[in-house]
Amino acid sequence: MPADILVQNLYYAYPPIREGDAAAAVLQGVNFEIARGDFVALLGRVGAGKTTLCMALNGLVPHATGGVFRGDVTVVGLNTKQHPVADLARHVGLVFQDPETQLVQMRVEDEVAFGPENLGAPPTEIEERVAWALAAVGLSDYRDRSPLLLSGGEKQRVAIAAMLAMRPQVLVLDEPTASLDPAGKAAVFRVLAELKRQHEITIFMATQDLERIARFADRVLVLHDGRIALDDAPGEVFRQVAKLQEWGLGAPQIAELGHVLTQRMGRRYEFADMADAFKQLRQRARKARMRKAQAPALEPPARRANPLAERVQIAVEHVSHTYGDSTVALRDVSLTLHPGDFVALLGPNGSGKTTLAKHLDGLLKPIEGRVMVEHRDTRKTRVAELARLVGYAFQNPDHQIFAATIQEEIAFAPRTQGLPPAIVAQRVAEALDRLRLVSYADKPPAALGFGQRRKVAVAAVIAGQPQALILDEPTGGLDWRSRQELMDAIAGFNILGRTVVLITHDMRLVAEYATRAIVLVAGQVIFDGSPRELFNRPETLAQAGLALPPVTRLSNRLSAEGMAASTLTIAEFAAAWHARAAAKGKRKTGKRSENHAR
Amino acid sequence: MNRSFPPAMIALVALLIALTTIFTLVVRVPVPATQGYVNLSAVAITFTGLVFGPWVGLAAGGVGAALADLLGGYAQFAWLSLLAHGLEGLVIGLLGRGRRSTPAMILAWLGGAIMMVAGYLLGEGFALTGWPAAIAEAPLNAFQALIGAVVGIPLVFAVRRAYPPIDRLGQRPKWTE
Repeated sequence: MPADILVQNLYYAYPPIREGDAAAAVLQGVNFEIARGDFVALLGRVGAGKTTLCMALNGLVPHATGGVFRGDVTVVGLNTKQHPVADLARHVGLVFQDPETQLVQMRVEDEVAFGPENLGAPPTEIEERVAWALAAVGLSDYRDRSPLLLSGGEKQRVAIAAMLAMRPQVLVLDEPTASLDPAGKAAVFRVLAELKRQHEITIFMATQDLERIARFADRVLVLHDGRIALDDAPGEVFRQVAKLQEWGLGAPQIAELGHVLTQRMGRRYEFADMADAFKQLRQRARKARMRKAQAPALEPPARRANPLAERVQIAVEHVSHTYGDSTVALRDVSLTLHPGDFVALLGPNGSGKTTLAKHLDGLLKPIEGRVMVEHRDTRKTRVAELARLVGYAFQNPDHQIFAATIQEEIAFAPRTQGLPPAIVAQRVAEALDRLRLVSYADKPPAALGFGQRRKVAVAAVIAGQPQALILDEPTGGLDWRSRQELMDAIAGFNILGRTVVLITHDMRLVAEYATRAIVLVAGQVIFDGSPRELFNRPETLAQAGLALPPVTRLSNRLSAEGMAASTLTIAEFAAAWHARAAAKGKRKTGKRSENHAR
Repeated sequence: MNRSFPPAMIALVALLIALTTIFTLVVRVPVPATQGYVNLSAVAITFTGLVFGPWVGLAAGGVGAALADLLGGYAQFAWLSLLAHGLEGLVIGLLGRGRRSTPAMILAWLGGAIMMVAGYLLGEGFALTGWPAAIAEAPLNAFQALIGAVVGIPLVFAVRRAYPPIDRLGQRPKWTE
């Protein structure tokens, strides 16, 4: 098999942002080789240089970025130093994280035809290529649609089709699924797997989607400290959980579970995937003669009771909202948020999550019904006043970041509240520290990567110390540790008796942090209760297109062997497993049997 | 390869032409004496010239202002705006490109302002409105140029601080081994 991508001793430093600054070396001796038709995933922390490496594969680095470039990148036999981007683009397609940054046409068909048109291909061939590319991503019926009106997943597939129309041998994707919902993510991965299988296209993808890497990729490269630190099959790479965590990267939940169980049980547990974990654990459970009747299943600790649950912070009363094009976004929604609630707002794309969230801080006013924020009617209160009470971090951080430096961005909210400079400075220092942004304090936001800008946006909202905080998909594209730091900062905010509303598709976050889950489908609330209750209602989950976290699914499957069902988190699973395994001795003493709690 | 125009430069010039047009159209104070108007074009032109240099200043200033005249119902001024504002951008760029000190920027602006005021004075005096009206308008044009300095120069500082790579926009990036 010929190598499609060959990277040798690649060193790269961006030109300094301000003249006179030292050049920042991002890649410091990267070496790897990718064979034709391989699907390779690139894993690395936010700011590790994943985007830079992707751009080096089609020559944008260094031809469009300048800087210092040493070593060699050879793609399909072409050395990127000697060939301009325009030539390389015939062989390497690059898909960016935000599809909107690369879609330029008014119709899907024109968008896909744009590449071959620029090659001067004859019309019949262009038509052929467009038809093929759209069929490959499953969008043949979308020719006349406007790319801008499609969903995120569809936009990303149009961007992929536009690259495919160039008939590239290599497809490079930079976090293509970071802002997609589960359906969109699944669609993109399915398309890529199909391209690899049917057309032997080499796929190189930077991503944080650990669960899907484990399933789809042939190989995983880990970029750490400017070098490829690990390069192996997913199973082998994810076996090194401790190392990955030390580097801030994490592993799929099942692999992480193996690591935790090993530590807790003093025995070796290593799981390649869900099926493997189930087989191993079932075997051990049978060996230990775990039976349902042996001992009470561990009753998981109740989430701390909310002492402020009596008080009403935000009341949504029979709210309906219809957009100008007569799309009904909300239908008669009523709910009460209490101070200290940690609410996960769930539901498929277009179910009205964002519309509801925007009602909570007065960005949208109800057409019917009313919303009361701390006893103020949002229709009669100025948005500026509501903004002090309710903070909102948008899904796209670039929609809210505007200041010249990170520090000023974070200082904006406390300053507009008229706080004395000393307190403003204190709030800024605290927010910078919480989200590990101290070293970036004086940098302009434009100089940071997407994941870091997302942290900045959340830090800026938290610094205003509103009574309630709304976060729209705050963790997409963040690495394991950044996600943890961000969520810890939010949890720290919540524990002070402030409300958090988290819009997310990540069921692990719901399981680990939320105390309350609200599920919207087609503008209506179909569920409002604890995450545990939700996880025990498969019909509701199916209706909303939600999937249980791997650990919960595993414990459900093992419940036939006497394991506690529906454990929410790795810690709960490990505790339950520990309790069951230890129950072996109790059986002999003839303890009374108790019903297995389900 | 180096003969060709960087695509980023084409996009940049187009953007700055649009910026100048918008600044010219957004505030228009009619001047009855000449049937002309006072506007904010100098802000955009001062900014463009100081940051991006003479050629971009010429294109954005001239075409942007002329386009605004055509779009805004002052078509008779378009050719003169093309010349006067184009020269304004050119001179500001020649004197001020890459300068980071306030006095140097003011000097560059002054050169451009003189070109613009003189351009309109001569153009209107000889061809469009006759001398009395042209002379009556000159102080207003000078005032317009002054706004360009008062807003445009601080704008350069603010944008450079928020987005330092601004000075490299449109250039073909150079890389070394």
